[in-house]
Amino acid sequence: MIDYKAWEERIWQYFDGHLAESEKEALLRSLEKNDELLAIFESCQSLHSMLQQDKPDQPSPSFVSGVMAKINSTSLGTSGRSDWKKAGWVFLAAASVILLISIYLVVKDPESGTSQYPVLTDFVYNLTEYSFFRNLAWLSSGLFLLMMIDQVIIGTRKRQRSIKPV
Amino acid sequence: MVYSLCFRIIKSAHLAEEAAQDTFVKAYKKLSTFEERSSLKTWLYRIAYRTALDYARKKRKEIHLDDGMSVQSNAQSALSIIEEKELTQMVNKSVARLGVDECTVVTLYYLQEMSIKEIAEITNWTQSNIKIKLFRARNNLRSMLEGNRKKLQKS
Repeated sequence: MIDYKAWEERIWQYFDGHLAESEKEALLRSLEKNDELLAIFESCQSLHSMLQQDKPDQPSPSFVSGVMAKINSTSLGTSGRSDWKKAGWVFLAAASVILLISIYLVVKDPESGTSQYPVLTDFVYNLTEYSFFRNLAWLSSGLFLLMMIDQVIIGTRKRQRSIKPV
Repeated sequence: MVYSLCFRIIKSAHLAEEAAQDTFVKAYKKLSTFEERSSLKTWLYRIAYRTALDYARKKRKEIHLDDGMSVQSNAQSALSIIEEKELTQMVNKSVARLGVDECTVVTLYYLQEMSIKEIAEITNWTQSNIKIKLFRARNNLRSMLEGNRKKLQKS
């Protein structure tokens, strides 16, 4: 009994060009002897040539303009968002730096309890009496540090991964 | 070509166009993350394949193929007058009736003329798995076409 599945597999290998010369000859000899195998071969051949002649489907004429419109809208949206993000970071960084300096100046001379900048000291004392502002100062400082990490470490990685010509 | 892959997976012209457009937008956005581990073509097709799969999953109810259009309409014409163009249409319809995996493999192998290795890079399947899918797909196509021919001969 002939194992047609195995033969089919071999026939497809023949069309894919995966058979050695000796295997090809053996296959063709078998086809001459067996009409059923020949019918399978012809059927595979017909399908193979039809699939090879298959042509790509075409999108509508507005396809390219659609892609460009999407890219443009995405770019605009992204740049707008990144501008806001940048401004936010700058504001946060500036606020945290001022607060950090202020706190430093206040606690600069803990023994005497005096400061070179009494006006600023008073201002910060008043400000930090409220826990909300103290927490805000710590939060800003933390975010500032995160921003620095983002810029230094992740930014460097991104630059390293930038595209090279193919 | 990207559109063709999307169309064959999603089986809807309108959604395929959206998916193909999304593919290019994603590629544009992620261009900076492209590494030279594969070719740009393979990378682009990987994005297209995943995007098309996402669309196909989301719109499964809308995209299921209308069986009525595939065989019945063709059965009305006799085999003797079927020309090459009609045969090609028949093949296209048969390819569309394949499952997503088999359809993807056939499209990438024949239409995009990609090697098994390239298809493996796009789909993340093993090469032996792709060979099995290709074998099954072609056998299914062959039996579909044979079935069509017999119906036409009877009519």
